[in-house]
Amino acid sequence: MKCFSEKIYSLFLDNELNSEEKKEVIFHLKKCEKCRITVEILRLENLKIKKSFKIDYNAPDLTGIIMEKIVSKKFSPLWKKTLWSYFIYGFFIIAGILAPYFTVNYIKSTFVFYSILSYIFTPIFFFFSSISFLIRKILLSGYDLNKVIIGQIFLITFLLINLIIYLVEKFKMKEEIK
Amino acid sequence: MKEDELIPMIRECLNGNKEAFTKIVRHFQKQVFILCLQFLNSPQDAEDATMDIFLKIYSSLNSYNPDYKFTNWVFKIAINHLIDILRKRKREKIFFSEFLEKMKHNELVTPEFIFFKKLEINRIRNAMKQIPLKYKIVLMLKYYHDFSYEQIAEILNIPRNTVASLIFRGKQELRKRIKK
Repeated sequence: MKCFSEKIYSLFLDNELNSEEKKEVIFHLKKCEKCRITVEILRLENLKIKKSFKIDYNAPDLTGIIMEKIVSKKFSPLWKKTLWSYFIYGFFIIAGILAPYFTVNYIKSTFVFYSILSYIFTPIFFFFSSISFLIRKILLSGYDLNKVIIGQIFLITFLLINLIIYLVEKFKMKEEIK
Repeated sequence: MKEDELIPMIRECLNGNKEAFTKIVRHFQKQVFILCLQFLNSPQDAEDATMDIFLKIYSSLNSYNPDYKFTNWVFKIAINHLIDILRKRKREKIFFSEFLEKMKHNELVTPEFIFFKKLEINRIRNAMKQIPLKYKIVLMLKYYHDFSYEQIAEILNIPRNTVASLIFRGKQELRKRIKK
């Protein structure tokens, strides 16, 4: 019988093989000394890795401090989270309705509209803005409607990416403040 | 405490009973603290991170899906938080370093240390400092915290096969570094 790969033996030791595979491996190990040695070496290696992570340090009891923080800060995260969710969903719904409208009807002003909106959110949009400006310059030359729409789709995508970055940062900041 | 016993406590917390969270903190704080200590360098940093993690857990209890194991969910939050800290501080390179160096002195006197010194624990620790963080995390979750591949996959939000590959490749990386 052919020997199994090291990966299979590793899975065997990690108890990640199904019962059928396990039986096959055990059956082979009974017959093959070379593989038995391999498995023993791998087992020792696992043990060494486990021990290398071991830290002899008595964990302090932080229950009191944690509960004090929770009680004193009057944690009521549920409504906050819901409000944020409503805000985000609301934004996307409104954006979904307004974006096509602006795209088709107010081509010239859309860029300005979204740019101003984005600068309010975060200065990072300057970066996206400059890229979208280049795209717009290239794609919108001649005001071909298809090109305009593609240009605007790029623009809106950049805006949305930026908005997501902003929201993630905002959430992280909130957590840090806590 | 069993996993099933935690569910009523979570419900109580969500109903506004903050005291129910005390039992959850008591149950997980040692595991979380050790995890923090393994990621960060100092016990003080680990304490701060542990507190932040529990506040995070409390504030996101409503998003917990009872179809999954609560322990996995706690570790998921903890690891994400710790990765954030490491990223912010750009301290990936000194993961495990200073504190473990200090710990060596305490261990010198124990017979266990003398035994495992022979098994090249220190060489593994040194090699562990050099391998990418993703390998360290999976190896730690598997061999120190005894999670199954399935649980690690859930904690790290990656497929089970990826976990298997990361563990296998992580060990290979370790061997390479040890040989150097």
